[in-house]
Amino acid sequence: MNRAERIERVLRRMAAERVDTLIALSNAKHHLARVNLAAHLMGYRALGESALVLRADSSERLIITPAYDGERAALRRPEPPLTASDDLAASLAELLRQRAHGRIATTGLGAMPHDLALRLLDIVGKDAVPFDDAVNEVTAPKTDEEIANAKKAVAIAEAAHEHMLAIGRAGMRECDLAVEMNLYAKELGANDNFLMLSCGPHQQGVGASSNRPLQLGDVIIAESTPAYDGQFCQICRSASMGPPSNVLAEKYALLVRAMRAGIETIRPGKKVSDVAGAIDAVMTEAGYEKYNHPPYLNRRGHGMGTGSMAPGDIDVSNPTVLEEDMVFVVHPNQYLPETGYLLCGEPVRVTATGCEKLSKTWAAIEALKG
Amino acid sequence: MRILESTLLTGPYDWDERILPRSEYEGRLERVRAAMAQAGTSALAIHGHPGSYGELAFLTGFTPKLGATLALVPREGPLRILAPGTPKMMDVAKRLTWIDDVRPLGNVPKNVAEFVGEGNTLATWAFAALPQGLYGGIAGALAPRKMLPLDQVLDGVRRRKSPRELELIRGAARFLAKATDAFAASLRAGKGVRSAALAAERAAIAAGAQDARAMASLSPGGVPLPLDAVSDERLLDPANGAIAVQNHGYWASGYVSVARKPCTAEARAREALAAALRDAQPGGRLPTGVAANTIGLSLEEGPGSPLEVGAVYAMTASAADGCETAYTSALVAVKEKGCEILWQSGPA
Repeated sequence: MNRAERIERVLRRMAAERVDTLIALSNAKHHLARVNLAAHLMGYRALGESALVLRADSSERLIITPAYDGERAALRRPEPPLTASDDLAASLAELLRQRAHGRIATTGLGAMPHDLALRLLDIVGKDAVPFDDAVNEVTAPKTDEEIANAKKAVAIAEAAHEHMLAIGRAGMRECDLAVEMNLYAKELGANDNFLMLSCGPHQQGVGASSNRPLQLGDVIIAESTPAYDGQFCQICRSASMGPPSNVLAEKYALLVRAMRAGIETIRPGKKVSDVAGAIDAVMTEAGYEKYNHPPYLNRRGHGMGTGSMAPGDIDVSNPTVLEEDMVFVVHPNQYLPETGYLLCGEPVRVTATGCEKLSKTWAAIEALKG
Repeated sequence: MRILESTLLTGPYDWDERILPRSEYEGRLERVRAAMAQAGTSALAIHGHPGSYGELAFLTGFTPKLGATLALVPREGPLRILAPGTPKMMDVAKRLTWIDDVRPLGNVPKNVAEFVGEGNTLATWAFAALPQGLYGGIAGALAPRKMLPLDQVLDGVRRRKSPRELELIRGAARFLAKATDAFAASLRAGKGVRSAALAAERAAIAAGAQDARAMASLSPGGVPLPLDAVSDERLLDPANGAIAVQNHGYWASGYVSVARKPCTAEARAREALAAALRDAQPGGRLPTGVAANTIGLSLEEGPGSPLEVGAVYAMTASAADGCETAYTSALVAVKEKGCEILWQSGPA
């Protein structure tokens, strides 16, 4: 699929719901785990708040702020006509005045900053249809460009992990290790990185890096999620400061086995809950059924922004049916009483007959020299 | 200066009592509570998110690395922070602040309504940037009572810097000097603008900065923009950079132009800035061609004119020559008697 085909899917849905004008709004927050359908449809990470206005006749216009970001927008997305403005609401109002807009639908309004949202509400009117779910539903698969970018992001994540193994040492603060990984990822081409990295001898969960120094005997856990041209993709890894204990190696191998079981179920037509269920089954069989639920874990994986989070959280309660070209990470990340919280996760793309693992390596417990 | 928001902040943000002791925050709290008393309100909520959290950090030291965060401030008694993340992540979140009571966001409207209590009015700070969905939920939980924005008065409180704050901005200015030098050196060594921006960020971090963001022009003499694609690497002459660095929460920012041969636009920009700095005084206004904003815990804390005693300003002069623009900047602390230049972009 390419961007034009994604827009075509949205236009068909607009026709079905008798929507004449779709206004997709972006709050300029481009996050791994938050839906930003305007960015998803634009394929562009705007510096300020922005909007894509899509008409039923397939004409479209991008309104971006601030005006000086117009040069960058035109470079990134030369196709749609562009309005570069310092006042999104005023430019949108002017655009809607120029031509009858008919029935309006919006996405992203609830995420816009309050002051601006009030002005936008005045412009689109109270009858504007919330269209977030509809757009999200029909644009779940990634485009070819996004898939290619996801693969580049994964390659950067794997290289950054190797870099971490090479440079991490006792006494270094975990935040300094994270910052160095981010700089390294940027040098390899990443434009952002959702990097949760924490360490400790027995962790309850993963968090944003603190000033805590690494110590021998720590387990470092990291969700490394670089973005390449706006597309995030994630690997999850664990490593020990010094040689891993036998029990750590054994329990980590169990998590990897559970992850493989989940990945093996993936193909079009399967439900997300099947993937999570396969992971849970391995853990249950090993005697960890109690730990298959919060607070011992958060989720068994998730979709990849920026833009759409489809197919959502990998969880036994998620009935979403997998489609070709959905991209997500499968991560059994969880707490085990013998080891504390561990991370292992691999990104995948759903193919016509199964799935393609996007990472070159498989998660394995590794050791820093310390 | 507006920078592209990062999905997650990763630098050293744990509260360090040696840098900003509890007494510093208690003084701020006293001034904020005085403003609350004057406004006749007994409860204040402050919003911050990873892209803009200066107001939140001013009172709590808390940097919201992960997402939208609220601080709840009663007229008397302990403060509370509602932070994103699971309950198990709160121990790490507590390291970011001097406040003891840090809890997950949970049901925000319900939690805020319980905090405000019956019959009281909620004052707000930085709620203009609160996502509309969350704002609507809180407004609904408090209805029919209206919220009372205190931004204007509290922004004024925040703009006046203490000696400790000024020292931290001086530190940020030193990192900024390292970063702009590295940017210029990289370009002079024949590198493209993306490499130069990365070199600037690395130099600032190596010097001890908490965060560093460098942007550069995408065309000769163009406006500096985020470089978020590998294809942004290009050889430009002249090239412009915009760099922001952070030191224990406090920002320094500035623009720099790098040209292989002298250009008239750069000379005119320098003249304009020199004139502005010469005439700068408390209550004064800046001449045409020089833009400014106050800076501190946010990259932009308020307007650049008139100049207020106690505030620090990021000033930038620009001048165009055809389609090429040159920039030059300074960081200026305004004092009772005159101004102190904390940093100025040198000839590049």
